[in-house]
Order: sequence, then structure tokens, then C-alpha cells
Amino acid sequence: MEKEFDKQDAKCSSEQFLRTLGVNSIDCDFITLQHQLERALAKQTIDSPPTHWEDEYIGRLLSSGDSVLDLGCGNGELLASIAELADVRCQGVECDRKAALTCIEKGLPVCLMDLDKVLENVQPQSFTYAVLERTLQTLPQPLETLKEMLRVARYGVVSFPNFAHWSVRLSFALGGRMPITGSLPYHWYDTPNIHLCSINDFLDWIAENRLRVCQAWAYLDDEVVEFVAAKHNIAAREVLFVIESPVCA
Amino acid sequence: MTDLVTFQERQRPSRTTTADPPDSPRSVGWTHAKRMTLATTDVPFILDSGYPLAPLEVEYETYGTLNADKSNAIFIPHALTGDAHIAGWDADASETYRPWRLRYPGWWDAMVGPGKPFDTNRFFIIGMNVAGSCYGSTGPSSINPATGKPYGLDFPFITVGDWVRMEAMLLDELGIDRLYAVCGGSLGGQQSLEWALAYPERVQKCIVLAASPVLSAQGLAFNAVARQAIMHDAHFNNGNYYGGVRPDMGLAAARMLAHITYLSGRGMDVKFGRRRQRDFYANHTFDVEFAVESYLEHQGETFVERFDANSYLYVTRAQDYFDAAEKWGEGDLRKAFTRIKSEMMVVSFSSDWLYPPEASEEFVRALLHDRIPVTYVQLETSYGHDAFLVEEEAVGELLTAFLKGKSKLRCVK
Repeated sequence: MEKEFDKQDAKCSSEQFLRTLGVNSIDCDFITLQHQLERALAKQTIDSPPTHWEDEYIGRLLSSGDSVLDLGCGNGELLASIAELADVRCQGVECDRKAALTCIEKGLPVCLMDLDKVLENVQPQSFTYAVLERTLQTLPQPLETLKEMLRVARYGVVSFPNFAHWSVRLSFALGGRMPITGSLPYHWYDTPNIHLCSINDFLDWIAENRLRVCQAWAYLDDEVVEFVAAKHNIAAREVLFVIESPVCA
Repeated sequence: MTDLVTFQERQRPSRTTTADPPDSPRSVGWTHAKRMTLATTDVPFILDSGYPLAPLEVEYETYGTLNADKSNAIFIPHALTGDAHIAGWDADASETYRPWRLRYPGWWDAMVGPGKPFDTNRFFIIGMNVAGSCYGSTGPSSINPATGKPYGLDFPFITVGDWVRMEAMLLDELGIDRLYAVCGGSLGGQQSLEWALAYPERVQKCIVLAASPVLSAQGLAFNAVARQAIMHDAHFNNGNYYGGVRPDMGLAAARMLAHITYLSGRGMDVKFGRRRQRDFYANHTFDVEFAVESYLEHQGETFVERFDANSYLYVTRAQDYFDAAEKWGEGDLRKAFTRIKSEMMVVSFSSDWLYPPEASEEFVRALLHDRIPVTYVQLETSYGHDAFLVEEEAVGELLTAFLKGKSKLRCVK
């Protein structure tokens, strides 16, 4: 009983200390962090999310007559899987020449252009979905791009690595170096990720802009759950959101 | 003299140094031009201008084999001064008949042949010389049935739209209803676009290289100066020079000017710089001293051997008049493009200032606006407008990929 009280006390004082440092939103404590680590240790394996785990869930959204603008479409994995569905209009945008060439070989329409340049030329509500898979964190103006996506499409579909995943926190806190994890495989000097964020950061932005999350998926350590809540801020490696602007709804 | 040869080779890296000989397994081999009569005095071809052109004969060539369901045909329209001889070696060329064809193969031999991007083992390739030109199709040097003499400037004005209608007629005669692809560069690219607009149901894949829906004011200006050079030649004689001295000086000057527009400033600096032909000092003459002068002189000289000055007037005018928005969309490109049903690929070249990337992007913008799926690539190059012919590897790679694409995606409005 006395020991428990000590723990609580320690937690209170550390929270207080963090607040004095200007950390105003505390979403976990050392014990939760430790539990996550222990769970992972017990399982022995920690799987990185397979690339394009999102595609399956995005595919489920689509029905005949829909249209998809894939921003940063890479080798066209998502569009190629969509192309199997009848009557879905696709347009890819990619800035890597080799990747674009792969799309062309697959018979996918792709513009080898800067995605902002494409977006500014698309008329409002030209697509059902504007997709941004694992690209948000690499954009110079991520929020502008998100707003543009919601201008040209009914729904924005966004996935990104969650920078608040416990492995990132521990990697930095205990490793003392810029975190390198399965979802964030880069060194500080070669990373394309210039605007990383956590789930809570993203949800804050959604709330501030009065947008709505229609659907969401979180890739936890070993499973995909079909909702995203604040508690996933520590447990989710990657997330996929479908958002919309109520103005257009 | 050695110098001259060296940089001519550099100017045409592929066509002189790596051209496939006729016996190469990658060449379509020896070719023969074919002729087709598209209109007779009984049934003339009514041009866009309203003029009933008759007779109308066109020269064309084909390579590869048309498959049983006629689904492998690709039409390749040529650019300003091109011809139907796209690939291989003209078996009928001689020292007196089209002698330049003894020296090099068809104008896009690098792209058309067995195992090449337009793989003749797979595709049936068709090329046609446009009317108004001078390579076997009816043009200003043809006999005007009304006078029994060459048309000269009595030849009617002709448009890109006329050419594409003639091309469609040729395909009708060949029994080809639908093209797997149409692909052209420059003025050939404008014909490709016209195909997608005039015959949306007949074109599955449309490829437009180094071309835009209109020629810019700068392009119009260059064409105007070129025509002035021809028409002010002492021997032009209002276009009636056939059988006499030809306006070679004017035509050569027109070609020299055009060649400046085909290169880029940087490309010229790299290729020629301020290098002199023979001496390292100024000779104080107006003769050819700089390497770039020699290059242009050479381009002019070889061009007058193979092209007719009147034809140059007519084909540049057709290029001037082409305006896809005006013809199909009452001035609105976006309205015009709603007709398109083909899969589109647009390719621009970074240093092209005749049909600059910005113009191609306008093209792409209109397609995006109309919700038409489009593939767009801008290739980095210092070769300028010429890049669509010179950048063989990069262009070939794109063509191969686009032609291979299974095209599951349809345009859903």
C-alpha cells in the first residue's frame, strides 16, 4: 500500500516537472511504457507493418463509379489493386521517375509532377477519394496539402507512421539517438520525413479545423484495429484515416 | 573538313553512328513506299477550307503484320518535314531518286523495328506523308489538273484536321477501324491530339511528344520569318520555280532558323560554344567561321536537297493554324478535351522552347480538369525540341512502358 502510494507520488512529481518544461499534454506514464515493452518482449517478435497494409482497407471503401487520386502513388501498388475493380477512375501522381515508369508499365495513368502542382489544377470535388499514403510527413506544407485534398475530393485518405509509438519514444529516450524503427527506417541525415507527427497531433488538427474522421484504422504491434482512439497514441505503429470536411458533406 | 564530320556525328548520335543496317535483326530491312488514291475528280476531298482537292494521292509505308482481329495497328504521324519512311532503308532510293535515303534509314528507325519500342514483331506500324508536303503525297509540286502545270501557290491551304481525315481514310482503305495507338512528336504530336479529338472511338492510346494544342506566338513568329526568307529569294518567282532555278537560299535560311528553335541555348553552348572551324582567330570575313555557323550551313544545304520550298510554306501554315481549342471547344481547351476517350500520354522536354513544358502542362491541366486520366512526363534534357528524336533511350523507355500497359482503366465521367 505504501509502495503504491510512492509510485503515485513519483508520477505526480514527474508530471509536474514535465509541465514546468512546457510539456502540457501527457498521454502516458513510465509504467504504461514499460507494459508495452514487456508485452513486446513476451512475444519475442515485433513485426513491422507490411508496406501497403492500408491498401486492403482503402480497397474496401470503393464502389463502382468512384474515383481515386493517389498522391505519391509510388510503383502504383494501390492503383493496380483498385484497377481490378470495375468502373473506378484512377489518377496517380509521383515525383520519382523510376516509380512513375513502373506505373506506366502497369497501364496506370500517372503524372510525374510535384503533387501540389497537380492538386492546384484539379477542379473542386473531382474525385471521391484523394489518397496520401505515408507521404504526409515528407511534405513541405502538409496542412495545405490536406486542405487541398479535401477541396478536390469528397474524402481524404491519409496514412502515416505514428511518431508517438512506444518504440519511437523508447528508442529516443533510452537509445539517445534519432529513432530508427520499422516504420521510420531512416537516419537523421537521409530521412525524407520532415514533418512527423503523432496520432494526437493529427487529431488536434482535425478538431481545430472542424473536420471529421469518418473511418480509421490503427496498425498496432500485431493487429489492425478498426478505430483510432487517444489510447492508440502509444500503441499504434501506423494509422490510416478517412477524413472529410463537413462543408462538403 | 574532319572537324565538320566530327560534329555532324555528334549532332546525330544515333542516326549516323548507331543506325541499324538493313540486314540487322533490329531493322525492318528494305522498304518500298506505297501509294493510295484517296480522292478523284469524281469524288474530291473537301478540305477544311472548302476547296475540293482532286486527285488526292498519298504515299505511305507499313511495317510488321496486321493481326487477324486488326487490333495491333499503330499510326505514327510525322513532323514538319518528315515523310512516310519511318524505319528501314528505302530499297528504291538511288543517286538520282531520293539520294539522301542512301545515307540514313527512316526518321524514327531507332524506335521502330523488331525488339524496338514500336516492336514490329507485335505491332503493325503505318506512316503517311501529309498532303502539301513533297514526299509522294499530293502537294504544291503536283500537277494541277486545271492547268496541267504544278500547283505552286495555287495549291489550296491545308490543315492538320485535313491530314488526320486523310489518315483516317487511308486506314479505312486498309480495313483498320481502330488504332491501338497513335504517336507523334512536334507537328506529329499535334496530329496525334487531333486524332484523339476527331476520332475518339478509333484511338485506344494517344501519345503526344513535344507538342501542345497550339503553337505559341514565338513559334508563329519563327514560321513567319522562315516563309519571308523563302518568298524573298530571288528565284522564288511567286512559287513558279519548278523546272527552273529553285529558291534554295531562302529555303536554306528558313531551315537554319528552324534549327535554332530545335536546339536549346545551353545545348548549343555545349555542342559548339564559340569554337571556330579552322583558325583560332577572327578572319575578318563573313564566311563560315564559327562551328555553329558551319552546323547551320550544313543543315540548310542538306535540307534543300530533300525539301520543296512551296511545301515548307504550306506545312508551316498548317502548323500555325492548328488550334485544338478553337476547333473542338469554341476556344476552350477544357471543353474540347471532353471529347477525348483515349488513354493519353503527354511527354515534354525541359529545354524545348518551341513547345515548352509549360505548354504541355497546360494540356495536362485541361485533361485533369476534365477528369480524364493522363500520363505526363517531363524529361530532363539539354537537346531542346530535337530531344524527342535524340533522347532515344528515355523516350523509348516511356513508349515501351505505355504501349505495354494493359490499360484496364477506363475513363469514367
